[in-house]
Amino acid sequence: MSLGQTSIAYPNREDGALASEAVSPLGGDLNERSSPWWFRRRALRRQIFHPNNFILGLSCAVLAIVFLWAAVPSLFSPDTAVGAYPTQVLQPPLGKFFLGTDQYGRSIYAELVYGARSAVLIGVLATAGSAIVGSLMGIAAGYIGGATDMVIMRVVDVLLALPGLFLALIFVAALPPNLMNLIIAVGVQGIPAYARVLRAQALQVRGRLYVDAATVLGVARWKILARHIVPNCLAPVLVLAAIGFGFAIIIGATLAFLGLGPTTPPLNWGALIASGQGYVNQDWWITTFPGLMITAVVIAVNVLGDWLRDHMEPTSR
Amino acid sequence: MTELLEVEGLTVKFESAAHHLELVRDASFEIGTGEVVAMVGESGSGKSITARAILGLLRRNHRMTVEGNARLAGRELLALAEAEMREVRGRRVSMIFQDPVGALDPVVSIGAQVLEAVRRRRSGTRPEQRRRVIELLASVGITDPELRAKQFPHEVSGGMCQRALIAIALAGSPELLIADEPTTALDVTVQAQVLDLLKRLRDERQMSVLLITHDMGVAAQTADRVLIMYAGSLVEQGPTADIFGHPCHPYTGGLISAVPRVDAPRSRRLVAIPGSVPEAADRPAGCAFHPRCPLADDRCATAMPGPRRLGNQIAACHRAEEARDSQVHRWQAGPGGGGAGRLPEERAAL
Repeated sequence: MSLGQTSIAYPNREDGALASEAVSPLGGDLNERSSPWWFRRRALRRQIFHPNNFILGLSCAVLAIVFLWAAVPSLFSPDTAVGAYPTQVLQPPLGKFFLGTDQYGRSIYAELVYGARSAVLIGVLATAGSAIVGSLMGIAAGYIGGATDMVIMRVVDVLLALPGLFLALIFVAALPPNLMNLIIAVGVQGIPAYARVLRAQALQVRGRLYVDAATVLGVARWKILARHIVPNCLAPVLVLAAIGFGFAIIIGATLAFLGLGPTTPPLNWGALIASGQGYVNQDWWITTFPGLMITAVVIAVNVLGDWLRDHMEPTSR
Repeated sequence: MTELLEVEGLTVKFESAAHHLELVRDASFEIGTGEVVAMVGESGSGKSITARAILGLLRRNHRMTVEGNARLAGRELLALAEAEMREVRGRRVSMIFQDPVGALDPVVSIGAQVLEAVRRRRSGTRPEQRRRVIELLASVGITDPELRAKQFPHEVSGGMCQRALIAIALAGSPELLIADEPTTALDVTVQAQVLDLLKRLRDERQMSVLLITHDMGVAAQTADRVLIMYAGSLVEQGPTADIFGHPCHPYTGGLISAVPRVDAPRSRRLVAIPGSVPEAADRPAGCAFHPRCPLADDRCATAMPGPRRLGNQIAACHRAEEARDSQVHRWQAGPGGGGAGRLPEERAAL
């Protein structure tokens, strides 16, 4: 899939039909500031509504909204996730409440807005945690080699032997159910991917000529590690993280659905789905909207991750 | 001339489950202060391994063992601990590489990489160090050094990268510069500039240079002395004029005659040494060169020749005298000379 390969990255480069219009017979680019405003507006509109860029733009918009919800939920919802209207239970959507209410009379919309923080925290912190820990483990294993490599990679093998969800399940079941532990559990299952990729990367970079060149200059080993090995290993981390982010949100929601997350409001979207389980036949909106939210966010993250991968391939460096 | 580097009986072995190889066999040579010594040989003959062994770069590879001595101004390098070796590297011995673009870190600006080398001396304030970086870049003939310092390796040409590498190598004012095929990746014009730069630096700083190359032309242009390496052994060494004037090893003769000449008649075919360099795993018994050698006899197939001194040269060949005196090598003798570059029969026809 190669969504959004074109104009977002290079705002001045047009594609398809647009290009033929945008370039004047004299070779000048009509999208420069010299072109009339109406022309630029039309060009911009075409660019945004080009199928590729439209999906990428939509994804960015979805993520932006979710991050804003997570940062300042009170701006977006008049109700809170805790406050309930006991007289308004199980209201259908598009009535008095935009997305209806659940069996306790809480606004679904408010719950979604307030639940965003949990999803975003899991996504960001768990991904950052596994990226940092996994990368360090991988680079250490690859660069130092020998016994260190052996020990680290066997630990990674153990982590890898268990499916990610199962691994997270073990951790979260062993620890008290709060958000921090949920994040730790989700983070641990992400470690092996980074460790393996970064080990391979470090092995490759270790053999590069500039490492030898630094060695013959008499630069200390740890300085070579910090200045030359680590920066040259980091290219794949961002791409892995973008893909891991969506996965972390899914695993977090799954664990919450299983009742292994925080049990007090504001609830994770996964926990919301779980709470609406018993009503799914008639009062579908309780489970459907949190589910749609999770789906939308994960798709958006993946679209963005794909775009990143297309633009950060090592060949383009 | 005092000897700066004395290498004696250097042997590099590589051991693995399947192989027990001698990559370098009993190599002995000297490099004097302010002398440019060229080490010439085909790919895989052990040139780079020799250089790496001297700098202790093979230690981390546990399959390699290095034997023999390498003394820098009387101090044994091969026995130094890693921490002591680090003091030697960069300050007393530096190295530049064949692939200048690959030898520079792609994510660090050129200036920062030179600065890293300058900092190794731990002297001066930051602004002084910065000024030194610019000076170094200017001293190796980089135009507009302030701009280049800010650029990244992929933004400048290969020749520029090689100059930057030389600047990095010079930052510690080394006594010996090992240049491992410094011009192979460069255009001929840039190659000449880099070689001139090396010679100029030698004159200015009294720096010794070990120039590793597979190009006899480069060796003839640049070196005071030449070492010829074949299949892991030093087969011949001596002053450049003698080596090119009357090579004492058939292999040297073959290398010289294999250099294409512009002034040769068109009808003359390019000369090549028949066969190819044996792999380290299946070197023939006796002299490693004997299957390709026009002078080889029974003794060459059984006994490995030791180095012998003939005049100014040292050659490892049983039939060195014949090789030196034989007409086979006369017709391709040295630069200049009336009949140079022509086959004897062609000369006769003139």
